[in-house]
Amino acid sequence: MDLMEAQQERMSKEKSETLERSDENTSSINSQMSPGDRIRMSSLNVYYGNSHVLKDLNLTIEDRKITVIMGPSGCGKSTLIRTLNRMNDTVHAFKLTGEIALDGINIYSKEVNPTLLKLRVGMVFQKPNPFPISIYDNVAFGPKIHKLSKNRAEMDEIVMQALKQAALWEEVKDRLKANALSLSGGQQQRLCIARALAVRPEILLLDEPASALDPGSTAKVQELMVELKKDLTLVLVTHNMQQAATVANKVAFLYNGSLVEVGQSPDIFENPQKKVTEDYISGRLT
Amino acid sequence: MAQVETPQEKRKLVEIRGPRNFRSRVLTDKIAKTACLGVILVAFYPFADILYLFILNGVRSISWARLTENTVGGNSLGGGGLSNALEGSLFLIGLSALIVVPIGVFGGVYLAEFSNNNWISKVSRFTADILAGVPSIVLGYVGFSLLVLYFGWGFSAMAAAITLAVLMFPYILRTTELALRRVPESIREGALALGSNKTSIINRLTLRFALPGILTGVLLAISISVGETAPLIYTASFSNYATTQLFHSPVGYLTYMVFVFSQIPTSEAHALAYLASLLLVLIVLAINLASRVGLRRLTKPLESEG
Ligand SMILES: Nc1ncnc2c1ncn2[C@@H]1O[C@H](COP(=O)(O)OP(=O)(O)OP(=O)(O)O)[C@@H](O)[C@H]1O
Ligand SMILES: Nc1ncnc2c1ncn2[C@@H]1O[C@H](COP(=O)(O)OP(=O)(O)OP(=O)(O)O)[C@@H](O)[C@H]1O
Ligand SMILES: [Mg+2]
Ligand SMILES: [Mg+2]
Repeated sequence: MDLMEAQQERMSKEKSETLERSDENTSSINSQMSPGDRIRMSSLNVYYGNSHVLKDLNLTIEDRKITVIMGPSGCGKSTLIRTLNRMNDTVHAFKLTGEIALDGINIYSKEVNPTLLKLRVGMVFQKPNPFPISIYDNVAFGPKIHKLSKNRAEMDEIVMQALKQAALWEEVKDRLKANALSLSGGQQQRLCIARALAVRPEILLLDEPASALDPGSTAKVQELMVELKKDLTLVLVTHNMQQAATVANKVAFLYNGSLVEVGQSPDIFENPQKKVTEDYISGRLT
Repeated sequence: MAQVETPQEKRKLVEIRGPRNFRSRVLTDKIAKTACLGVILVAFYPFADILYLFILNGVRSISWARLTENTVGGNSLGGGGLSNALEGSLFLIGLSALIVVPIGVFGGVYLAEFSNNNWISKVSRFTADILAGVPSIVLGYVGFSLLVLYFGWGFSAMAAAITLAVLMFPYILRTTELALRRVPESIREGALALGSNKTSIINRLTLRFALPGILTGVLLAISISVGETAPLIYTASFSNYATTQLFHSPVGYLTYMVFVFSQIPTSEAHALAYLASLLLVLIVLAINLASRVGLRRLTKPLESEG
């Protein structure tokens, strides 16, 4: 009945199998992954200097599902998803132990190119960070670098599609050449979603992508996530319980850097197994 | 303000004007503003005076002959024209900029984007800061001993241009680095997350936003070097004839004419000195305007709506 225990039991079993086979091929543990898993974190520990931010995490991200990470402010949610595409590599004094495997390959192993990894695992940041260039160029930035279009018409199409997906097209279609910084906060947030979608990642990490959106846009972004789930694997950080309950398949509750509870939605909201989870969900956590 | 009658109206006014000491704060603010303006005017007066003097006397000295003929005489006499010095100045500015701008800008890019504050960057920052404080006449003497004598280049455009380049280097290096550092980290992260590598982030984003700052640094450095005399006397000497030789031939330049001809007690020499000053001011002005126009072109798509 205890989901977390079950989870951990499964993990440790698989981990020991990994260790047994590790002398054959350190980076390939493909055979241990259940078919639906894309990312597997095992005994993941993250430090910034002396502060221990993520503590012995074991979690799997399933293919074409929405995994929601929840937890109080400062518990390590952003840190967690930033380690999934190696955005923390350049952060001063960042240290990681344990393993994160993407399709069975440890993404922190030498043979993984961090740049190509980011192309496969895209990210929308907690704070909108549009480039101070035109709206069009923001969305076209990734496709241009990776030469995803043969000509201008194709690029226009990619840009339009991405903006439509992010529910921004109608608001900006007449001012694509305007500086992206002239957009409102919520428009910038959707622009960043469009920009990430334009390079067609396989996995998309979303750090509170709807924190500055009005209910209508939030609903649209939620619809988008459900729609994207058909082809993409999504990891979503959100403080919005309703949003989590609406879109999540799996919910991971993080507290003080430890994974307290992992469960399916909506079970975890209706029937939290741990007291802190229940307190957090009901807003009693202080 | 209208007569205050009822307590309610009084309160309303307080709400609008703010509490009592708010008014004295507004007054302090006004005094400070006025004082700043006054200081600027005081500082501006001598500047305007000098400019007026040069422009007036410089414009009076303009003549076809003075602009197109070579200098006659040098340390004494002082006559003819200054076409040799004008051409020489432009030659030296161009040559030194050609040498130093790529090195300074690439160096600045390295410091800001690649160095991660390693020891190389610390040493070069320190050296650059020291270099910026070395009097230019000392640099001139070093250029003289090393380039003119030891390398055996003689008084030459190359010796002068390299000396000027050393003089300009710290400004370009540091302003480039600072301009790049002012580009927010979140922008680099955003581009990184799209799978772009460092080079394309620099080429497509950061360098573009740092460009106004970098250009300002380059301009400042060029303006400083345009006004230098001491290092050039040591390295370029002076010549009454224009040259395109890089080695073994002295070069004329405008600051020499200002420096030497203003001390020769003939009105013809003074006229040439004034004209040389005017031309120096115009060169700095022209570089400034050209870079502004260029900058507007480069950054246009960022600002406009259409
Ligand atoms: N670059 C960094 N250097 C040092 N400490 C950091 C760094 N980034 C985050 N931290 C610390 O790590 C902890 C977790 O931060 P993180 O940003 O992951 O929290 P979060 O769960 O995303 O919080 P929020 O909901 O407020 O966004 C915090 O205590 C934070 O201060
Ligand atoms: N500096 C600017 N230049 C041009 N247009 C702007 C500028 N700032 C805002 N706008 C436009 O004005 C409109 C209102 O923007 P504003 O930022 O006030 O919205 P908002 O109500 O705060 O939205 P949000 O909830 O997304 O923050 C938007 O269409 C936006 O694109
Ligand atoms: Mg966060
Ligand atoms: Mg706003």
